Amino acid sequence: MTKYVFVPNEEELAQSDGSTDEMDTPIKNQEELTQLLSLCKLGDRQAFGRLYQKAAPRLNGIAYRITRNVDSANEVLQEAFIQIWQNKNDYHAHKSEAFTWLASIVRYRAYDRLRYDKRRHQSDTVEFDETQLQTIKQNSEQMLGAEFSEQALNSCLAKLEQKQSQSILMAYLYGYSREEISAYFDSPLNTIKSWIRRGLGRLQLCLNG
Amino acid sequence: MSQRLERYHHPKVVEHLASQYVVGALSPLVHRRTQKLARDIAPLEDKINDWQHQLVGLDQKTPELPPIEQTWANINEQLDCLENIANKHQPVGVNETKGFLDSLLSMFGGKGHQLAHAFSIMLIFVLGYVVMQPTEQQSSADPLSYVAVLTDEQEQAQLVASTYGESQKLVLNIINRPEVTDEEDLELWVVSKTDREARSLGVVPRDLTLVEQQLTNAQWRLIKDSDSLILTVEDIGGSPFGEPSETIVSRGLCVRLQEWKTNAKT
Repeated sequence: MTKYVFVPNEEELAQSDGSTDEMDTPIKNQEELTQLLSLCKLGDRQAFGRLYQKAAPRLNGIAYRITRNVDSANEVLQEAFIQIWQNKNDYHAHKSEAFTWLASIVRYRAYDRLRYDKRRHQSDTVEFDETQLQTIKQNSEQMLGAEFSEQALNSCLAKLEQKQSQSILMAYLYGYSREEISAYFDSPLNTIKSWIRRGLGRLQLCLNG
Repeated sequence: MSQRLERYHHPKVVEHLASQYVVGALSPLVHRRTQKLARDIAPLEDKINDWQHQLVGLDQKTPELPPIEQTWANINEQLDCLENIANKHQPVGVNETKGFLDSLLSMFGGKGHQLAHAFSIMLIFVLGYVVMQPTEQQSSADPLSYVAVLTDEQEQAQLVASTYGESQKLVLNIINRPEVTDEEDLELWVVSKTDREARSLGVVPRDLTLVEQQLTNAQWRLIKDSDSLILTVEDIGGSPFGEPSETIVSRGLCVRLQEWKTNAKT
């Protein structure tokens, strides 16, 4: 299992907003995050503060990636950290790495938030933003081509049919529903379901291979 | 084990559900059901953990975005509030409010269902009283903006939830607390007008009859979009799944005061 070392950036934490461009900065020191979560389980609020300092910028980046709105991302982050504190006893280091557990909580909350906001503003979002979707497509392709070139995940994603990998990445990275992916590719919903299902199946085979 | 649950042990079903869950491809409803199932079905939980681990590289490469400073302040404030509740801190001004509401609400609780119009007029009196008899915390304040009277199946009022102006402060007056065991808690949920889904406003603290809770911006939007509030019985600490149990002990429509005033005039 890959271990990462996290480099906290206190100056960045002091900023009010604005994204950083540290695509190459790995999440470091999973052990430290795990230790902080262990202290949280004992009710240590200071450790919780340290955990926030360490992980919040990356987690907020994930929330922003999905919600595409700074305010929504911060609210997702806020709700997620309340959930993290309340569910701290559900974290088990032998089942999941700390960052994986934290990121999953944020990601699922962000999906929820995105879909809730879309339903609320359904009349505003009938038309798809083709420019944005094109950007996403390009980003997905870039990720496949460059950012994960040395990772098994990238290698396996690259082996999928392009529409399969794009559908999976649109859902995972940006929270697009199957219906939205169907509209983007102008393909039936069942076809999208099939792409995702088969893509994930092949991905699993490749990752386990 | 029921046949329904048994099929979730089938490796193909587990694999399919887990992978679709992690990639975010399930509808919100199925997502929540899967989350719930994973707590009872170890292979499903394990498979979800596997997929999360395999795909987390995509998250680790996501650019950082430092949160605004207020976010941590809000988290701290909310946790402090939860701790205060856990410590059973008794706010000032509880008994006076409870006494009045107890008697008044029991009076119209049994009739509200059949006599909606009369109920609305009576409620205006209740609201008028609440506005005139604020707790210390409310006294700065803002006019009553939203209110819900939650009743049980016998239409007996159990809880009044109200907000004041745009202060984003939720005040709960607990009139008749439904009984729960030591292993259970009551949790308050707001049901959205838009998607009819229930989202938690938190666990109702034990032994308090008046509770004030500062809502997050997201919770405040839920209130503004609310159709009704429900009170459910959950395991101690609240629902672990983010969705209410089937044991709904109390419910009530959420009413915006301005609308009540308008309705009453017509």
